[in-house]
Amino acid sequence: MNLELLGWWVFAAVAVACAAGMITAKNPVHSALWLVGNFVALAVIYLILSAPVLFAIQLIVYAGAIMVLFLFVIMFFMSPEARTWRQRTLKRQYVVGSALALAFMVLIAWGILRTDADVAFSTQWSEPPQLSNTVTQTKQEAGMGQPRAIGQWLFANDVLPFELTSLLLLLAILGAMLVARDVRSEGREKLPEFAPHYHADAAAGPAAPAAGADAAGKEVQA
Amino acid sequence: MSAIVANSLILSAMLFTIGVLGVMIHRHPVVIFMCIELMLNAANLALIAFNRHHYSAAWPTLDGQVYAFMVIAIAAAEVAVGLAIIVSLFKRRVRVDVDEINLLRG
Repeated sequence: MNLELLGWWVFAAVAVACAAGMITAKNPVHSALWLVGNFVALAVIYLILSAPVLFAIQLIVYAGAIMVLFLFVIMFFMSPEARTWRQRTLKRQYVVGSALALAFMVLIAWGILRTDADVAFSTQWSEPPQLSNTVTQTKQEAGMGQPRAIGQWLFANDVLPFELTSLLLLLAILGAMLVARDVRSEGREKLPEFAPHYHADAAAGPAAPAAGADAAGKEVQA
Repeated sequence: MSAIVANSLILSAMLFTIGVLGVMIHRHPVVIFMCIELMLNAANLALIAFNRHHYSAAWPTLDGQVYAFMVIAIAAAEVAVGLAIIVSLFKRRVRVDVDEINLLRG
């Protein structure tokens, strides 16, 4: 077993352990921390699979930015009692969910293992796809997955998706601002009908008992 | 197919399955969102593994890695919008539970 495969096994074990810890943790903050560990382990596996650029992007974007966003939302907007979600989870949901997930795993693994490797995964293409001159000229200069090779491939073959990505990110920023804006500052008449808790609390004052609010909420939703 | 690529595909399937299991057994929207991120990462791992497999001197393709790059960009956009939706839910509801967020149910 060479060093590459050994490292693969170590970080694959870390990734699976962190994923299992994520779905069994009781606190969403713990889930987020397990997920960070999973992302870091996956980043190292990307590096082993000759993708150093994606290793860096995974660490910066996923383990850095996205997980910080998750932790912001959990810590800023969730009260401590809102984190005790597991008490209300049904036992049956675990059993049925685990059985279905196991069946799904068997299905995927069976599909992977039964595939004829000589046919489906052959690298011997009858005719290699036509590449633009830029890519074919520089293919020997950079190793697989090096930043230079990635950049040249991206801008030679996938310019339009790359540019559309910027548009997508811009729209996502606008959409996030629009969805998460503070509706309370815009007047109560703009609150939607499905916020009965808020309406009841606002009408009865902050010291109102929560039972009436819950009953009103059930009536509205029913 | 080299052992590392085959192993990566199985690992990808396992991580995807764990993500599916998390979506099924959890009722908290933030945790469900994290499980979706896990599934996206599993798909990325499969893309990168196949790229490693198909890469050759005659055809130095990087399509898989570029697709994984696009998936990461789209996941970032998805997280921004999805977490904004969750934030607005937190602002409007006392208790957030996916079983009770049923306004759009027919």
